[in-house]
Order: sequence, then C-alpha cells, then structure tokens
Amino acid sequence: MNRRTFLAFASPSLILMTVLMVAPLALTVYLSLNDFSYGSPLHFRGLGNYTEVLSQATFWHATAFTLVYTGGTTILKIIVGFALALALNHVIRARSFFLGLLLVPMIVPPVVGALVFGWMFRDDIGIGLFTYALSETGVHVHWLSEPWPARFLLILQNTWQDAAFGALILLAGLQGLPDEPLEAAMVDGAGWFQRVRHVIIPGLRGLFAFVALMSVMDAFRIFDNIAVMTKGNPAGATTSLMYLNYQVAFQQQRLGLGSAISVLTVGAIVLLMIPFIRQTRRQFRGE
Amino acid sequence: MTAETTDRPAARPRRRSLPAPARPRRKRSRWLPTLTAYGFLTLAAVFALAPFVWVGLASIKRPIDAFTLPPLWHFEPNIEAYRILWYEHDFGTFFMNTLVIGVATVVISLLVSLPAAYALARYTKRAAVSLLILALVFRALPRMSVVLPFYYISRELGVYDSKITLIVVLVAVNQPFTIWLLRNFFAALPEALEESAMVDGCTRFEAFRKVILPLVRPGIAAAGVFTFLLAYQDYLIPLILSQSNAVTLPVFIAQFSTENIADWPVISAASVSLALPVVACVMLAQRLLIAGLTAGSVKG
Repeated sequence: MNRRTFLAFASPSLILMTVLMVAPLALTVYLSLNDFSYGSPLHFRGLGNYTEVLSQATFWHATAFTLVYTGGTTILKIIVGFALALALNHVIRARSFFLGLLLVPMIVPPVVGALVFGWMFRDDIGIGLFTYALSETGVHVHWLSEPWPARFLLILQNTWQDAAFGALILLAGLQGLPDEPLEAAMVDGAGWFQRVRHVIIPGLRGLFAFVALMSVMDAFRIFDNIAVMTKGNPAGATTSLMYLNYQVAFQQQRLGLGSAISVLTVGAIVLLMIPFIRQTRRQFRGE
Repeated sequence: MTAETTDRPAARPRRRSLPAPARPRRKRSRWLPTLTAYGFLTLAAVFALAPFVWVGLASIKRPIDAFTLPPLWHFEPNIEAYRILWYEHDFGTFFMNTLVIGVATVVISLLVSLPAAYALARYTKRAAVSLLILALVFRALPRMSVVLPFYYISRELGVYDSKITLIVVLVAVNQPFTIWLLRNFFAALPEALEESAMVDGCTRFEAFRKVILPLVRPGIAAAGVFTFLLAYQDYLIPLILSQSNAVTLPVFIAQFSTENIADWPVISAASVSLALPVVACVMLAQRLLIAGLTAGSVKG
C-alpha cells in the first residue's frame, strides 16, 4: 500500500482525531492558563492555576489516593484474574458457563455495578446484606464512613467488576503455552506449585504486563464508582484526581483550575506509558 | 485492550485448542484439583452475582419488605416499582436517548474506523506507526481532559445538552479503541487476498469493500458490540454534557439514587432495566465479546 492510498483510507479518521481530540486537548492546555467559569470571560492567569494546584494539599491527597487505588486494584486484579484463569483452564465442560457468569459485572454499566455493589456494604439503612452478614459473625465495619474501609471498598468494587478481563486474557495465554516445558517439569518431579511458579508465570510474563497496563490506565482515571459510592468522602479520603477535577471544574465552576489538573494528569499518564509506547514502536518496526 | 504484547512466548502458534496440562495428570489423583477448581469458580460466581440477585429481589419487593434485614425470603412479588419507574419517571425517554446515542455512535465509529484500521494494518511506515501510537495514547487519556474543553465549546456554540454533541464526543473518545480492535482483525488476513482481486481489475477500494470486509465480519461484530457497550455504559460524558434533553440512563440512575434512596425498589428496578438488556445480548454473543476482549492482547 502506498502513501497516497494510506492517506485516502485513513483521512476521515485522521481529520476526526485532529478536530475532536488534538484540538480539544490543545484547548485544555490554553484554558488551563486562564481563570474563568461558565458564562464569564476568560481571564489570563499564566501559570497561576498550576502553582495553585501544586500548592494545595487536596491535590496531593488525591494523587496519593489515586496511586494507592491504582496499585491496589492492579495487584488484586492480577492475583484474582490469574487464579480464575488457572481454575477455568482446569475445568473443561463448564468453562463457558462459568466465564459467562464471571463476565456479568464487567458488562453491566459501571454506574449500576458500583450502585449494586455499594448497597451490599451500607450500614445506615436496611439494605447492606454483606455488612449484615459480617456483623452476624461479630465483625462490625463502617465501610463507607471510615477512610481506609472506604478506600478498600472501592478497590474491592473495581476488582469485582474487572477481574474477569484479566482472567480472560491469562486464560488465552495458558491455552497457548507449549506443552513441552510443563511435561519436562513434571518428569523432573515438580509439583503443581513449582510448575506454576517456574514455568507458567514466566511463560505469561508479557500478558501479565498487558493486564497490568490496562488496569493502571483505567484505575488512573477512576471516576464512576467514586461518584456513585462515596462522592470522595469521608472527608476527601476517596477523592481521586479525576473526581477532584470534576469537583473543581464543575461543582466549584473553576474551569481553568480544572483544566490545569487535567493537563497534569494527562502528563502523568503519558509518562507512565512511555516504556509501553517504546515497545509498541519497536514491535511495529520489526514487522 | 489495545496493546500488543508480543516478543515473547505467548505469541506462539495458538492453534492447539486443547488445554495443555490436562493429559499427564490423569495418572495421579485428579479429583482434588478438579474439586478445588470447581469450588473456587462457584465461590467466585456467587460473589460476582450476589449483588445483582439482591437488587433483582429488591425490585419486586414492597418498600417495607425491601429494607428488612435479615432478608425476607418469602414475600409477595409485585411489579409496582417497575410501573412507577416506567410510568411516573420518564424512564422510557432516557432509555430511548441511551439507545439512539449508542447506535449512532456505533455506526459512525465503524464507518470512520474500518478504512483507517485497514490502512493501518497494511501500511507500516513511520506515519502509520505514529498514528497507532497516538491512538493508543488517546485511548489511555482521562475522559475529563477531553470533556472539559467540549463543555466549554458546546456552551459557546449553543450545542450543549444535545444528543448530537454526545454522539460526536463518544465517537471521538472511543474511536481509537475501535481502530485498534479492528486493525488486529485486518492484520490477520493475508495481503494476497486483495492483491489478486486487484489483478482481476478491482480498485483498492472495491477490493476492500467486496473481498476484505466480508471476511472481517466477526471483527466488525465484535467492534460493534464493544463500541455500543462503551457508549451505553458511559457516565462522565453525558453527566457533563447533558442537562435535560440528552440525559442517558446511567446519569438518571446515579442522580435518582442519590436523591431518593427511600425509593430503593424503584432504583433497583431501574438498575435491572438498564443491566438486563445488555447482559442478555452479550450472553447471546459471548463469543463476540471474548473475541473483542482478547483481540488486543495477542497479535492478530
């Protein structure tokens, strides 16, 4: 395919991405240098928004929470996803049955998923089935009104919602693993645990990285479940960067300051992605 | 699901469909691992589904029964909550909004992404690689950074709170993903296919339309299902860009549940009404969903 044909085929998409992605992003950068709210004219402020954001404790709290959340969900989703993949790989006849059930939390709109999951953990009105079951065993946790339980609950909700994705990817990987090393390990007398540890996990390294990358990308921009379950509370303990961005830009109507938070978050995500971008480029060069 | 993580063992021929570890184990005791696997999966499935069952039950209880713990298992089911939802809360309008926006997003995304994805699968010079990487970065960006300027622009241009604005933004945000997904399906087809069609006198575009497109039908279906799900599920974009005319179901449910928790059965009915259609459709097309989910991870 020559250059001209390529451009002919790709131009609708190129134009769309330029007009609807590149231009708005450039506008965000410009807006971040201004102070304004809806209906008021732009008021140029230079880097004032950035110095203001970076000097606010709430911004650093939100950053810290976002990192905790990203780390927690990624680790949990990989562990649970891998365990599910191993189990699914072992059952043969019931595989698609179980897979179908496990995929349900992922297909349901996140708003609904977060709502129904969150209700199980309420302790104020009589709908918190899980809280109730736990209190029957003598454990009383205020999931939504204490900082760490609330943070953990959000991590748990995200794991509940998305673990099946990792399971699916790792299951595909398990089925593609060659037989020989596993058989050799068994001949050498390796037990199940040793085979998983020394043969299966190294063989799936690339897919673990892929699942982790997807998880990090999604966790970093987490918004829906916070908006539905905690609204950033108690006392800002579960305010993520994107939720802070929403509060600042739309609830306080400080659109310039919100844009500055956006730009900083985009910068952080691009930095996180650099190793991955490099790898993708290398791979295409080699094609 | 955009990435390609190859350069490593899992990219090996994966035609072998038999799960690898099953055979040799037969000699040893095999009931314990099987039992463990089934037990674990059952537990996981119960955990995955319990909240939905709980909400499904609540939606057919009377309010007074719904707020009862320990839970009331014997009750007279009634559909009052659904009646209230559909007749007193304009649920139908929000449902139509969501459907129209979802379908339009799918159609436009596919029309724009199909030729682009094909071109990206066939042309691997620097420009194409940069474009793919750009799409990957766009896919990873927080929606807020795109929605915020759109909020500003749409209010300046007077197109705030319209379905068309929502469709445009959803297409823009989700198109990078659609391109990556489709590209893998195109890349799996040998180039000789359209070359021979072109030798027979087809133009490149005719070859694309008549030879290639029919062959990637599963890919188109998977991309369609996915793009629809992304649009149907989206919360942030309609939350910020709509007020009354273009409100979608997720926005309605989130707001309603914050304001009226005493109407828990009605919120439950809304959750069930929103979730059930997609769950039913996707379960019917489970294979498409799985094809779409795994397409990005392994080289096409």
